[in-house]
Amino acid sequence: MKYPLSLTVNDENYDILVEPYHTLMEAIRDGIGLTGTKCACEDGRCGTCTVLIDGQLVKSCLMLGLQAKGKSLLTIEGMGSPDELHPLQAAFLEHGAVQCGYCTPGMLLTAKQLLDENPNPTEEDIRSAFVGNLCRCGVYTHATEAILNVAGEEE
Amino acid sequence: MIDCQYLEPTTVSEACTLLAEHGDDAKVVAGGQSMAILLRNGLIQPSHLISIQHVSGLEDIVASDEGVKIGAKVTLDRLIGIGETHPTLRALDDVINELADQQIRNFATLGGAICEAHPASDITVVLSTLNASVKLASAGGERVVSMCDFVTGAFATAAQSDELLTEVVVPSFDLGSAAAAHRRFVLRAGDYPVVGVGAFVSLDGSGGCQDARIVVGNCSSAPAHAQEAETRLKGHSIVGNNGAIAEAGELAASHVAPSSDPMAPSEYKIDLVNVLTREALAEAVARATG
Ligand SMILES: Cc1cc2nc3c(=O)[nH]c(=O)nc-3n(C[C@H](O)[C@H](O)[C@H](O)COP(=O)(O)OP(=O)(O)OC[C@H]3O[C@@H](n4cnc5c(N)ncnc54)[C@H](O)[C@@H]3O)c2cc1C
Repeated sequence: MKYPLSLTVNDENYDILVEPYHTLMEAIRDGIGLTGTKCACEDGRCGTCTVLIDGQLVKSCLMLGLQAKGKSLLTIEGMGSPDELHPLQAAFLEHGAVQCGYCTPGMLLTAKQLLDENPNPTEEDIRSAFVGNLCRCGVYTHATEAILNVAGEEE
Repeated sequence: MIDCQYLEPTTVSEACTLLAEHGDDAKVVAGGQSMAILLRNGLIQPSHLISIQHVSGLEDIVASDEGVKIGAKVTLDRLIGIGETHPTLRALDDVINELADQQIRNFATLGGAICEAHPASDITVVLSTLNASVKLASAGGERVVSMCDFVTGAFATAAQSDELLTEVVVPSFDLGSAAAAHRRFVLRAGDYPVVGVGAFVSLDGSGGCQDARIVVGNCSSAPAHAQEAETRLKGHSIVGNNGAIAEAGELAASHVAPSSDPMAPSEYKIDLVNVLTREALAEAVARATG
């Protein structure tokens, strides 16, 4: 039985229908059609599906869509646009913190949340923030440099 | 996929009524951090999902005469640093900020972490070590079950299908003479541990061990007391007695029979039990005397 799900994604309101067993990731990708949120491991380890829900990081494959009723989400599509990159997106490009790019949306949202909460993170802070985001190309060093750079500029 | 209904009670008694009504076909959803995967992969197909997201009264952390009471919906993120406010829970600090990752801790609830009953769970090991108990509510009333009896096997608990876990109670103990610690070994950050061990000791006035609890995780289907090691320590000198601690480690290791899995062969896990038991015990003794 499908249920109505109203939520805000990147400041736009959406009303969709979802099955109770649909994950938030399925609601975002299939229901709303925003496919920047990636799906990879399907067991909650990889973090490519990370989004922000009311300012908190969540792996969208580990939450049911209906748990997000009335909430406000930020996905990678809301972070910046090709014409107007978010400073972290620009820094990731500049520092080569992207190889295959599959983990990048999740990494960027984690990085954004880290800087929102802690504008001056240490390398150690960045490393522990990325525990939930796997990158098999191994761009962590570059991503860390990118984040430190953005943090330094905003100071 | 069968037809599934999503129900959102707002009180414990409403939730219990729904559970009584739908029984075996219903499943509670708390944070969803384990449930979403099970559902998405079709591993479970309940006819009713009972979300406790809007159930009130399950989010408090309160110190009372009984001990520290923690509501079932308290998230793991909120438990970070709990030992600073409630020192009897310090053993939770040993593991909680390394458990899974920020994303998961934000929504994983304590009740969900217990009821998941994963054989490698750290939470059930620590709570058994602390001799905690859980309160289970149902339409018929309430009962209390010791954590040492709650997990009955892999992914299996003593909770009936119509019962809701509402609260965890961690009993008080004398911080001047007793303490607990937890040690775990992981292969990759964010993973479930290969082995985890919790140790609790209470000391008499002369460096002897009055009581000891040693709980081993992920070497059998549920957290297991290392009874031989506990017996070895009780009533004997422990402070400054590295020999006794080493013997306890050996005894704990010689009584586990973990199966090999892709993470580690059995012999490796047995070695880990030995090392982690010694480390957890030494730390518990240091805390109790410190
Ligand atoms: C990638 C990953 C790594 C992890 N690593 C670790 C680790 O290292 N150590 C560790 O200990 N844990 C680990 N976990 C487990 C994590 O702690 C649990 O997934 C989480 O705590 C479950 O809580 P939840 O609120 O999301 O429960 P849910 O997923 O909503 O529910 C889990 C189970 O408990 C039942 N349930 C939930 N609440 C209640 C209640 N109040 N009463 C009755 N039944 C209830 C549900 O019906 C379901 O069967 C890991 C999980 C993941 C996904």
